[in-house]
Amino acid sequence: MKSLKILLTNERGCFDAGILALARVLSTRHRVCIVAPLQPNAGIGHALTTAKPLRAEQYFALSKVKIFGVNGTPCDCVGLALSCLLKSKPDLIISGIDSKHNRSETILSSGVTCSSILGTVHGIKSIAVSSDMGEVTNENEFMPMARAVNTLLEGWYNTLQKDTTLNVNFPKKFNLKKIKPTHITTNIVENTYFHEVNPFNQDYYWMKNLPTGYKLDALEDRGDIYWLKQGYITLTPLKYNLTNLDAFNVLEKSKISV
Amino acid sequence: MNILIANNRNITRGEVSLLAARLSTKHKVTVAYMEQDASFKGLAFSYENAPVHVNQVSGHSAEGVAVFEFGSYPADMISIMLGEIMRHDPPDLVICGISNGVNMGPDIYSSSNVGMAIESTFFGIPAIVIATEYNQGGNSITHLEPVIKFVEKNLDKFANLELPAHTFLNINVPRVEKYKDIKGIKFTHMGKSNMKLEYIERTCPKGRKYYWSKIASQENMDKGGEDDKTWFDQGYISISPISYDPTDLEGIKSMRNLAREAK
Repeated sequence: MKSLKILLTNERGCFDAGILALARVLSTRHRVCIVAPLQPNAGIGHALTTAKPLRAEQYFALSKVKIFGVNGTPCDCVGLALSCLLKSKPDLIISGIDSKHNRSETILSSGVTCSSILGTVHGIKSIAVSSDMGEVTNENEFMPMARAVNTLLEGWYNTLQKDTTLNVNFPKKFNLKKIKPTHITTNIVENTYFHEVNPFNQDYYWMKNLPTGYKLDALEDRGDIYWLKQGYITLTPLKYNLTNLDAFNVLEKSKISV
Repeated sequence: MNILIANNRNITRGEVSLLAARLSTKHKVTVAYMEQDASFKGLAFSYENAPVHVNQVSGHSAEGVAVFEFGSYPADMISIMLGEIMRHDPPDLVICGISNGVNMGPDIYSSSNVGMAIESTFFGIPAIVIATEYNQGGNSITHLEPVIKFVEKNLDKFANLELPAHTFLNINVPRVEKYKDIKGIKFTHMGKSNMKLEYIERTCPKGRKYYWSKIASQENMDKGGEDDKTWFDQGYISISPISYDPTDLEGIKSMRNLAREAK
């Protein structure tokens, strides 16, 4: 594979084990730059920071890789990298490796997936990579997965169509022979909250963490959740256009008028 | 009808108050809004990061309108309103807006109003995002009347459309002086523009660089096409059916070939 200019970002912070492992492996062959949030940004989706200015601090944790930590969201990082921090346009944006899965309909609130979509919107091939590692204590735990990404990258890069983002999830124990292109599982999210009252007698709510919110039929759909459970690496191409073409029939008959 | 009006900005900005006051003459209206301006938050959630504070606020100008004020993110707000507070009395329609600033093309990914509408569809409740461009200065909001009139007129239809599952309507109303100046309605799709997030670099008095985001730079790539921006720019109301499921079924086919080659 030819050497690429790769921008790495994530939602868990610029020193997260997943992004550092990936940067180490990819930088043996490619030019890699990390622009990622300084703080964890789980669930931040496509959010952008507009009410305060951003800072980008450069760090020197890896010898071959420039690292910028930004006080913003993953999408801020992609925007800022393309607009100000990178000298030239990257060939590829990879977001991850996240230590939690970004699959099913939660992807639109995932900082990892959404920052990739933003890359696609800017006309750059983009891939989101997530895993099910949970709490990781050591960067080395991510190394096998980072090497797998490096191996599979050429195929992904060449197959990825314009206007499409690739969302990849690794199961905990993966095997490069078990790869499944599949759709995102839909109709499963039920967000629920714990209701509590603070010492000043004001109401507040804590979101209950997924996957407790999943409805039971998540596996019947044979989408990404099902195949991850079967031990497959899932690949889901995401199109950029969210228009539902099936709805036009209904609209034409709707008598909505001025 | 039972209507939830949700806005990602503070109610004191007026647009929600006006809409709520008008609709509450005929319908049961509940208002939810963000204590602090939460534009460009998309479908962000608080998750484990922070609790979501909620206050029921009294003293809305229109009688019988219940008002809730939220911290955290707009999508949390919808989730708590529909899943907790209004669980036993779910609304027939969620109106996200009126937003000052239109939502078209790839902008919709970051739009808080769109995020709120997506979240409403998770609960199976019809939702519309309604946006326009109006003036706001001092005590007067202009150009809002035509938008309110349009919503009022089509309220029943918005609530009773049998759209495919998880689909909502993204509506942009052009800025006009009078209702009759609206040229018409176009059912259209999310367009494509070469959206660029741009940041302005500045230096603080201590010499460190900082950056301000500047989102409003884009050029329509669908020129002469049938997309939302093309029609909107010609003075039409653009209505796009949007669903959150972005799986590219065509793309899966080419990925399958790739997986086969790998074996």
